[in-house]
Amino acid sequence: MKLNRTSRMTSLPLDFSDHRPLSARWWRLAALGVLLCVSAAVMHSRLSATQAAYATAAVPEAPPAPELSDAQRARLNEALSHLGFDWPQALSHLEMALPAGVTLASAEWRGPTRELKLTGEARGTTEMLNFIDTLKRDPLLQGLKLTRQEPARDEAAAARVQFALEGRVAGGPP
Amino acid sequence: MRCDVSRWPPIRLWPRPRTAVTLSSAVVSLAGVARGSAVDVTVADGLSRGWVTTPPAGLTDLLELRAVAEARFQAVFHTAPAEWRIEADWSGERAFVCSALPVSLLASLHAEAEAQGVVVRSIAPNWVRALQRLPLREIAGEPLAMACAASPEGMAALFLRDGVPIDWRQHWCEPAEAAQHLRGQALAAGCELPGQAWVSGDRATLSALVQSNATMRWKVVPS
Repeated sequence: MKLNRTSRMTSLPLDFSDHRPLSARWWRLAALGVLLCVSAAVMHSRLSATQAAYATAAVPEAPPAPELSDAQRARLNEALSHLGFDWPQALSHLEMALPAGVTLASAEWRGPTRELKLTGEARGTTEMLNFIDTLKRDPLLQGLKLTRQEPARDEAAAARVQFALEGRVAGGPP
Repeated sequence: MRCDVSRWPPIRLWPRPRTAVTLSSAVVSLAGVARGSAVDVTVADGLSRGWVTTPPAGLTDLLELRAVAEARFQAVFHTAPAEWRIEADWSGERAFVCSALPVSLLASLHAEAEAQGVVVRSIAPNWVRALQRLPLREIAGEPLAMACAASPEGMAALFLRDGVPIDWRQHWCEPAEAAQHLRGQALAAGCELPGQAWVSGDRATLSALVQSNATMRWKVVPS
């Protein structure tokens, strides 16, 4: 039962059967569904063929490992040791050991020998020595030495001291 | 179709057709139809009803349109519409053509089709099928048009003004009496007899109609 909205009678759609043919809209939807199913089937068959081809294809042999010279091997080990060093933990240690009046300027890590070189500036000699005592009590650092000590170059802060420390990080043979 | 006529309730035919129509001859036989095939069932005009309903202005609800068509059916045929199935070219903007078939006939037809394993694709009276064969889009363009369905039992005629149905009647008459009946319908509908008449039907009836009504101009579409 459908309402005819034409102002003139251009057709006579009278039917007493309960059978109602699908409208053009439903036919289009059905065609779209069939098209999607066919596309999915084609894609599935192509994917299956590709997978089968990969499964049966010969796996190429890995290329031989390149020969390294001693110098190359040393650089490679150094790089690997850098990667293996726990920088966050070390910096956290240093920050906790820093007393008031001491600032760090640089921290240099030498991987193969596990040596750590620190440079910094203290408000005075007392603060610098207190810092060194604190680091010496830390089990992470061994053989800590003061390698440089000189007054700051800034004349306005004549009491300040610039220093350099060297030590070795514990945890394995150098 | 293997129909037990005794199972059918009596159907009042109004106006009575020129030849007696039996239910067993009214619908196509389904006995010989292959199982699973689809059939279009054409019902004899004597078992159907036809009329034109003019809806009140602004009516667009299908249920209300059906109520109006049922009221018109009862006024024209003096029969309660409960035992009839009504179908129409439903429209809320213009008058529309309605048709009715007995509910018992349709139920038996569907039961027979189910028993035979046949799919009923469509069911329509003979006059509806004949009108559907006519170029209604072209006819709707004429200021005053007449679309007819001729059969050995008589002729159904639909008058249209500017594509809008104004009157439908079933004439149980000989082909030679058609022009006279159509003039009477035009008078009853309050319009002139159109200059030409579109008509569809079987070739023998059409031939007799054209030969015996030479004063009218016919545009025939054989079935």
